[in-house]
Amino acid sequence: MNRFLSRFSILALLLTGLAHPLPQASAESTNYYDLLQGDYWFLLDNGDRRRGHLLRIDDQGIELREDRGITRFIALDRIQQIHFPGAEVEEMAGELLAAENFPEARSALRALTLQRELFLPWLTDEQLWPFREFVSLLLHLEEPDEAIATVETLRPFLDDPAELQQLDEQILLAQFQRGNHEYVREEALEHVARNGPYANSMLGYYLLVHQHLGQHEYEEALWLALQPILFSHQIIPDWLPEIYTQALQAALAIEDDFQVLTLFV
Amino acid sequence: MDEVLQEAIEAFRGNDFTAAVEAFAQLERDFGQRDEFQEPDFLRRILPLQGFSLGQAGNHDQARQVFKKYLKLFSDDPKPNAFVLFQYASVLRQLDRNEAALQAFGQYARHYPERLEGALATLQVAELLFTLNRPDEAISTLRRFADSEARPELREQARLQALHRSLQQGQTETALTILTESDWDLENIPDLISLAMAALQLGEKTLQDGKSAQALTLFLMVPPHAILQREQEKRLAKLREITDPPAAGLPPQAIRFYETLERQIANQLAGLQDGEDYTGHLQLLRAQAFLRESRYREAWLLLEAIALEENFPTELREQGHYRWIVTANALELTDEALTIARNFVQRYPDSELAPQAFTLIAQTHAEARRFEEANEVLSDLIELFPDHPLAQRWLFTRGYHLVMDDDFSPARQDFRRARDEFSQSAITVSSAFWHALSLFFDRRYEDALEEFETMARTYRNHPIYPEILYRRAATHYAMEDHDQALRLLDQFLSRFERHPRTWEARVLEGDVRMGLGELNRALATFRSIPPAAGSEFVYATFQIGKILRATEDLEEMAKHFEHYLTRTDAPHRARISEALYWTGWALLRLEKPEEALALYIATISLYGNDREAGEIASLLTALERLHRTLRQENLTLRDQTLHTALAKFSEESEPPLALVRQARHLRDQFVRSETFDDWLREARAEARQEENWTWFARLSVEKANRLAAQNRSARRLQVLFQISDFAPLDQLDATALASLGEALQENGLPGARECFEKILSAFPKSLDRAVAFYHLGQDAFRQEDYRQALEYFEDFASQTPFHPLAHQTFAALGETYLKLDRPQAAIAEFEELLRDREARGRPHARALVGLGQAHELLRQPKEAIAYYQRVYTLYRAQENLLVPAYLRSAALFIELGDPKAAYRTYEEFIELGLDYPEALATAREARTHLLEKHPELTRKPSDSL
Repeated sequence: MNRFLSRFSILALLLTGLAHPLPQASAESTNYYDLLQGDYWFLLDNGDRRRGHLLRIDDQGIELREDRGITRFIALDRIQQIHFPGAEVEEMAGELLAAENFPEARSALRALTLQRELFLPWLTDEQLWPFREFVSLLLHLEEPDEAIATVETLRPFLDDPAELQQLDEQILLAQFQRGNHEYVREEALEHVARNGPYANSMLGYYLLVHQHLGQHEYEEALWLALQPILFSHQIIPDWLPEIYTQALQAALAIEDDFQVLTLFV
Repeated sequence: MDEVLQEAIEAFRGNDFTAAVEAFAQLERDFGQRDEFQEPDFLRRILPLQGFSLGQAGNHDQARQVFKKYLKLFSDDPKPNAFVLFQYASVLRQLDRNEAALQAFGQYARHYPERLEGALATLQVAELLFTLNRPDEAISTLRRFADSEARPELREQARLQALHRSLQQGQTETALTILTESDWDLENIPDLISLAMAALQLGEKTLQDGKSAQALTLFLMVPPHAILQREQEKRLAKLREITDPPAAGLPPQAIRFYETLERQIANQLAGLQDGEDYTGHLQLLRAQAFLRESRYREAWLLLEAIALEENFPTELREQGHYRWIVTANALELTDEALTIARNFVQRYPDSELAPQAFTLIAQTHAEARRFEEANEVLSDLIELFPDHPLAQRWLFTRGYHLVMDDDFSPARQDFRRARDEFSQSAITVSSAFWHALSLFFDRRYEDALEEFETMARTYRNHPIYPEILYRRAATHYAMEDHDQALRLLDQFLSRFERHPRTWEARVLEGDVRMGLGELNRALATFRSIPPAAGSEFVYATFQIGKILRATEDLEEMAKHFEHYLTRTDAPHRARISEALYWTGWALLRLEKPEEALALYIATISLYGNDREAGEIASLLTALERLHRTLRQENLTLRDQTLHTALAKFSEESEPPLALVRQARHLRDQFVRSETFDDWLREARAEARQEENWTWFARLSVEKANRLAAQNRSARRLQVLFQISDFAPLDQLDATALASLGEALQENGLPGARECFEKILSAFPKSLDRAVAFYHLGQDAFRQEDYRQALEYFEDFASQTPFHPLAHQTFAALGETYLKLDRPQAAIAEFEELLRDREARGRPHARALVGLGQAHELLRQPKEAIAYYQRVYTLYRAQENLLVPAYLRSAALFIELGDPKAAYRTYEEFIELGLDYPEALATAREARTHLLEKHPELTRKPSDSL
């Protein structure tokens, strides 16, 4: 309950001065926003279900226009669960991602996140999927600013330490893409010190090695890259394949053919 | 009958199998004879239930009979009833009727492969095969199953079983194949611990068998302890989702299977949690494997982690730390290795490994000829472990290194200690021998001789005796006591004709006889040295040439070198181009200029562009004289003569056509040029066009030398710089590198260092190394890296002491000793220079200044002043040396409390009016101070009258 209330107050902040209809679509993703129009379903605390077109939201509650034109007000603290219109957009987003049609996928995911953003406290783990995918995609497309914004929007509504760690890594990656070298270096060092060479993610090592390579410090890069490679085992952590590539790059740069061969093998 | 049947069915449903059995028995008893009871459909219904009930109630044999009856009755069915067949097989298993159970399970697996029970049946088949002592079939069965489409956790478990059973059976190769060539589904394998432990076990074994690469692959399959625990817990949790509560739809057999598996894995996990953390041990094994694979970086990282990990057991950390030293050494990071080794000794002072570690580092330094660094380590060893069994050897080795560094006096201290402070051993004898030898190298021949003679008496029957005999002879020769040297050599050669030093002794005998003027006997001695003697044979060949040259037996000389060039029985034939040159030289003097020219043209064609060939420069000089002869005597060089020379001296009996054409072209070019300079110009241009860079550089150096002789220094530099403009450095010979390097150095241009370093790395025997030593030494001196400068100058002194740069170098060497605060060494050097009459002039002046400075360091101001005074008395033309001579002597006079002498010295210096403003200002200031303190210094004697 406390967790709910703290989220609720965050949401209140989000909604402050925001008694407004749903976000307007931009020209590029009109299609998805149209698809996301429709009836919302709300499961209330007394077991009742309410369904209707969403008219407005404010810090008190939502206004719903039900069938036969009835307008109903529902207090926020009564909402247990929400089902959103336009479920097919989520499916489409998944297909677009699988087909690597990233610009379209971005539009679809953006639309989904905008649709759901105001309802974050109520979202189930499954309903958070668009946010997670959106951040990953933005980082893939090297759009760090929006990625950071989305992460920070999402963060207050997550508890799981593994998920929160992943968000931290995404912020770090975004800062890296922004070229914030000092920050990245400090955080990467912290990441390495905190997680050590047996962690699930080797992002810290990856970023530090990247910096060495950028400064043509190939010997240093190679020594550092070898650490996560060396301490890895059959359960492959994230970023290890990338680090192998970096190690190869460094070994080639210092013309250490023997090391190159061992890395290939 | 229906009532009883109903009773039986209800009991069955209620799992009251005893009651069910009773009911079925009653049914059979009371109604067994009725037709309806015998109806196939009826029997089809009740027999399975009856059989199952009997089995559950523990009446396995009766259950077997019932199921068997069923299967027989309905043997015409397309497929046997799945439930009945499986239960039949199960009770056979219970009854230990294994062959039959095997058949039954096998049958099930064949008929129902798609079912979960089919998979379980296959696993049962494998178990039964093991029970029936048919392990190979069992393992094959499991492996086939592992590659099937069955549920992933069952497949992986089967694969794991195959692995374990292979190990149990001692089928290591099979186990390795399963482990390394299977595509393990790690996400779905229930028992990760067993997999990891099998990998660890096999990894250790393959490492012991010397297959370190394979061991590494296996160790990769072993996660660290904490990670294995975590991952196994995840998989156990996943398994429990199936068993607790039992997943809906799972047949009872499957539930039992998974429950058994869960218990097994839970036990494994408990064992892992309670057991020792193997991670450190694993990392050490991996590090050992990496070391054996020469993958030193990886080894370093692991061993460093082990050494510094506080949670690991001490013994493990000690092992890791020691190997870390070994690895650092292997990476040639010897300074780091030494630091790590010292740290090791601090942490583990009682460890037996410490001396080994230090010894290894010392050896590495020594192999790289870094004797000073090696000795630093040996000194640590001797100090830290004075009673160690290897202490005597360390002392001897340190002394040996000092000899290599020409530091003979401290070397002898070590040899003495090694000889006198330990009980008799092989090293005692070696130490005594090397003590004497170091006296020889120190030119203390009489002392050396005395010791060799003592040793000769003491070790008459020792294996070292021949060596002593040889060294005595060499010492007498060095003392110019040729008769005695000959007598001893004769003794040596007659008694020890198969000794490894035989050929050296013969060479020495030849040299002695040359020294005595017994040229014929010397000739005979040198001729007795066969090609198998290697470098001694080559030396002897050229000594014979020298003798023949001296006796002016030119025909013989030409034949001699021709024979050397054309013989096929000499495995080690060096200095070919030199031999060609001398042959040509002899031919010229035999007034066979055409043959000489043919030979030189052939030599250039064969070796002109060969970087390794020596004497090409001398050959070019000889060609210049030949060109004049050509013009004067209107010479020609016929094709036949040229061809004969090529055939004789190329390695092939019939010289290749391309070579013949090249030689002819060269001849034509040479013969038609008006002057030698014309030819030089044309040949250079052609060499450049054809990118024959070695030849181009040689011609350029010859051109540059001719321009220097004409005092055309700007043009000379131009020609030399063209070498670096066009020719890659690695195609220049030593002489070209030296000339180019000097030109670049003179003009403060980059690239000089590269040239000199190339000479040292690529030409270990060239005299031009002297140029490199000198200039690199000067460079180091200028950068105040005096230790490095010393190395270079000392290398000059030991390797090329007779080069024309000797005087400058020895002076610089002395000055370097001064900078390193080694005045005695400096004095020795400067005094040697002063004894050399050919070093008159500036080198002597430098020596005198150096001696003054050395005596200052020794706080001997009077002696210092004496040397300084000699400088400004005898060498007034050496203005830059006058400055320190005057200023230092004046300062020393002040120290000695003789202001008058100081004042006069300053005055004299100022009056010289040299163009050294700073020095003059210093002198004036000092003079002013003196006057302030001693105003009487300006009064003339007449003032007091």
